[in-house]
Amino acid sequence: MASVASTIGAPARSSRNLKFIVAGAVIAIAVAYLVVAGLQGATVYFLTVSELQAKGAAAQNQVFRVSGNLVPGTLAKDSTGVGVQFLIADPAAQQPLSVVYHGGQVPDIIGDNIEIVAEGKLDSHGTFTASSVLAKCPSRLEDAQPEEHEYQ
Amino acid sequence: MAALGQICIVGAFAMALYAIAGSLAGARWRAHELIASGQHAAWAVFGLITAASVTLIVAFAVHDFSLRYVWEHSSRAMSMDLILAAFYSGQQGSLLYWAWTLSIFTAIVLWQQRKPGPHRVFMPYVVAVLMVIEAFMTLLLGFVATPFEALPRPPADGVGLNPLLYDEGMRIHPPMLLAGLMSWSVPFAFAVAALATGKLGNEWLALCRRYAMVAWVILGLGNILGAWWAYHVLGWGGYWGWDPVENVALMPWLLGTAFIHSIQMQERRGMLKAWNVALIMVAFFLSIFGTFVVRSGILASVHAFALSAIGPYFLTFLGLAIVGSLALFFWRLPQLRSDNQLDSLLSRESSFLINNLLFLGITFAIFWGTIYPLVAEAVADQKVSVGPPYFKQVAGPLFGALILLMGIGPLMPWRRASRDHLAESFKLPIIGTVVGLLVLFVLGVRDPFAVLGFGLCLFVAGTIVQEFARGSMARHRATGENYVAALGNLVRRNNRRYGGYLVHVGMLLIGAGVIGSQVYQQETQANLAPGQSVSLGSYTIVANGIQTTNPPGVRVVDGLLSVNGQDLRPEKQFFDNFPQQPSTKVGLRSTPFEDLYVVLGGWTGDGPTATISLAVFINPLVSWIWTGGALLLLGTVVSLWPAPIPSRRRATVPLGGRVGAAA
Repeated sequence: MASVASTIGAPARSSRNLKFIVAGAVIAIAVAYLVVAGLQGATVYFLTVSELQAKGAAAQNQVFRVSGNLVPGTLAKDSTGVGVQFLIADPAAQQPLSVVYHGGQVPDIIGDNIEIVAEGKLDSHGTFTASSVLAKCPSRLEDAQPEEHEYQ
Repeated sequence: MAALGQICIVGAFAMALYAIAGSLAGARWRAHELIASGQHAAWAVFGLITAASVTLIVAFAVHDFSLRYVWEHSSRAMSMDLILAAFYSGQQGSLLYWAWTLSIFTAIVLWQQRKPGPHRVFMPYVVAVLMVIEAFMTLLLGFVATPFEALPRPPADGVGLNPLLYDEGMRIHPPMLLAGLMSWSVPFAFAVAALATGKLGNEWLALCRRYAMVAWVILGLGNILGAWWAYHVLGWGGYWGWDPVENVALMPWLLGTAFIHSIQMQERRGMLKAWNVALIMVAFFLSIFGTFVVRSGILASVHAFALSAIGPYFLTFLGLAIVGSLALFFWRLPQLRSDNQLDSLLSRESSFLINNLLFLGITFAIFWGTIYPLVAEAVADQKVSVGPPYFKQVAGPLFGALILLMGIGPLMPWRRASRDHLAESFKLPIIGTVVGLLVLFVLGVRDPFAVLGFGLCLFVAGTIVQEFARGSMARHRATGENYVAALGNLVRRNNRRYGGYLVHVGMLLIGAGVIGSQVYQQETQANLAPGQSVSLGSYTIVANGIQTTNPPGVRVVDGLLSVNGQDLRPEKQFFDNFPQQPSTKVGLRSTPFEDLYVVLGGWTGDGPTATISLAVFINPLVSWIWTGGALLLLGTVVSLWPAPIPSRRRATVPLGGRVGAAA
C-alpha cells in the first residue's frame, strides 16, 4: 500500500530522496568524525610496570596508564600532605616504579598489595607523576571456603 | 532449604520449556487448548520462581549459612531491612532477581491481555519468547550459577553484606537497573510476535508502546539512581564516569528513547515499519549484552566483578537471539514497506528521523568506545583504555543537537511546514532565549559551551511553555473554563502529548545540570589542623579534628567541620568484616543552585587535635539532575495514564491530509 503523496509544486521524488540521503550522510559523517577524533585524542595505552620500563626513555612525557601492585610499606603522604606517594611493581619488573599523586582523590581501598592503575606521565627522573589513581576492588574469590574456625 | 530452592528453579526451567512448546504448537495448529496450556505453564513458572526467591529470602532471614550464598552475603549482625539488598548483591542472586522480575512482568502481561480481542493472536508468540528468555535464565540458575549451592558444614556466621549496600542509594539502584534491563524483553516479545504472525500494522505497536515506556522509565531511573549513588558515595566529585558498566546500561535506554519517538511515525504515517522492528530488537540485544557485561567481568572496570563461567552462556544466547531475530526480520521484510514517503525536510517526520539517527549515532559511538579496548587487544594485541574525554567529545555535540531538536520537532506540523508557520512558532521562544542569555551573561555566564548549552535549554523551555500556554488559552476561549482548569483539562485530555512535554522538561533540567556541573565545577584540596580553614567560592570551611564512633560491626570516623558557621561531617566507615573496603559518605550541603561537596581524604592523629585532609568541590546545578529524574517519572506516569475515551481514539488514527499544530 505505498501511496506517494504528491502535491502540486512539490519537487520530484528523486530530488526529495536525495535531500534525505544527504542529510543522513551528513549525520553519519559527523558521528564518524567525532568517533575517530575522539579515539585519537582519548585513547591511553595501558601498560604494566615492566612494559613501561621496557620502553625506556621513549615513554617519557607521554600519557599512559600503568598498573601494578602497591609494594608493601611504601605508601606515604606526599610533600603537600594531601596526596600520596608509593611504589608499584609487577612480578616481571626489574625494579618498582615510584608513583606520586598530588591530587585529593585518593581511593579508599589503597593499601599494601592492592592493584593500582595510575594515569599520568613518566618524568626524566623515573618518577611517574599521576593525574589520577584508581585502585581495583579486590574481587571476591568465588571459590573461597569458610575457614576452619568459622564452623560451628 | 537449598534443595527446595533448587527444585523450584529446575521445575521452572522444565515448565518454561513446556510453555514454549505448547504456545508454538498451539499457534501453529490453532489449538486453543495448547495455547491456554502454555499460558498456564507461564503462570506456573511465575509461581515456581517466586517460591525459589522466597526460599532464598527466608534463608537470609533465619541466617541459614549452610547456603554458600547466604554465607557470602550476610551475617548475624545484619539487620532485616537489608535482606533484599543481600539477595541481589551477588551474581547468582542478581540473576535470580532478573528471572523473578521477568516472571512477574510475564504474569502482568498475561493478565493485562487476558480479554478476547485482536491482540490475542500475538499472545502465544509473546509467551514463547518470554519463556525462551526465562528458560535461559533458569538454565543458568539451575545448573551453572546457582544461588542454592550448599556448604558441607554450615559456618557459625556469615561474611557480611558488602559495605557499599548500606547506602540507600546503592540499595535501590541495582534492582531498578536490572529490572530496567530485563523489561525490554516484553516489547521485544511483541515485535517478534508481530513478525511471526505477519500482522505488521499498528496493532503490535499499540500494545508494545506502553510496555516500552515502562521499560524506558525504569531503566532511566536506574541510571539516574546510579549516578546519584556514585555522587554521594564514591566521592570523586562526579556522577558519571563513562565506565563500561555505566555505558552498557545507557545504550538500551538511548535506543528505547529513539523507539518511543519513531513509533509515532508508524502510528500517524505508516512509516519506518522495518526500522521500528529492528530498533526494538537491537534495544533488547543491548539489554542482554548489558546484563552480560555487568555480570561477567569481561570489560575491565573498577567494578571488577569476578570473571565467571556465565559469560560464554550469555554470549551464546545473545548470538542465537540475534540470528533468530534476523531470520524472522528478513523473512517478513517485504511486508514492512512504508505506506508513505517523507514529503519535506521541514516536517515532523523529518524531525523524528533525525532524532533517531542522532540517538543511533550516540549509541554507536558509546558502544564503539566501550568495546574498543577489547577489539584493540584482540586485533592488535595492544592494551588501551578509552577514557571520559572520548565520550564527552562525542556525546556532547550529539546531545546538544538532540536538545535543539527537542525544541523544534514538537512544533513542526506533519507532512510539510510553511515558512510562515515556522516564523510564527519560533518567534517567541527565540526572543525568550536571547533575553535569557543576556540575563545569564550579566550574571557571569561567559563560557562558550555554557552559553551554547544553556541557550539551547532556554530555547526548548520556551517552546514548551508556549505549547502549554497556547493550548490552555485555546481551551479557555473554546470552553470558557478559567486558565487553571483549562490547563488541567488540556493535560488530562492530551496526556500523551503533555506528559511527553513534562518528560522533555525533565531532560532539560538534567541537561542544564550536566552543563552547569561540567563547566563550572570548582575544586581544591587542603590539609587542615584544628582551627585552620580553607575557602572555596562563598564557603569558608574550618576544621576541628575528627570524631570516632563504634556502632556494632563498624568504625565510623567523622571529620568535624564548620562551614560558614554550620556543621558538616564528611565520613569514612570501616566495616569489621571488610577491612579492605572503607566506605565514604560525602559531606554535602545542597542549595538550589550549587552543591558544596566535601570528602574526608585522610587524617593524622586522633580526636579534636587531628589534622584532616579534605577534597572540596563546588558542583553547580547537580541537584537539577535529580529533579529532572523525578520529572521523567512524573511525565511518564502522566503520559501512560488511561485517557478519557475520545483522545484515546484520536492518537491512533492515521493521517491523510494536513493537520494543524494542535493535533
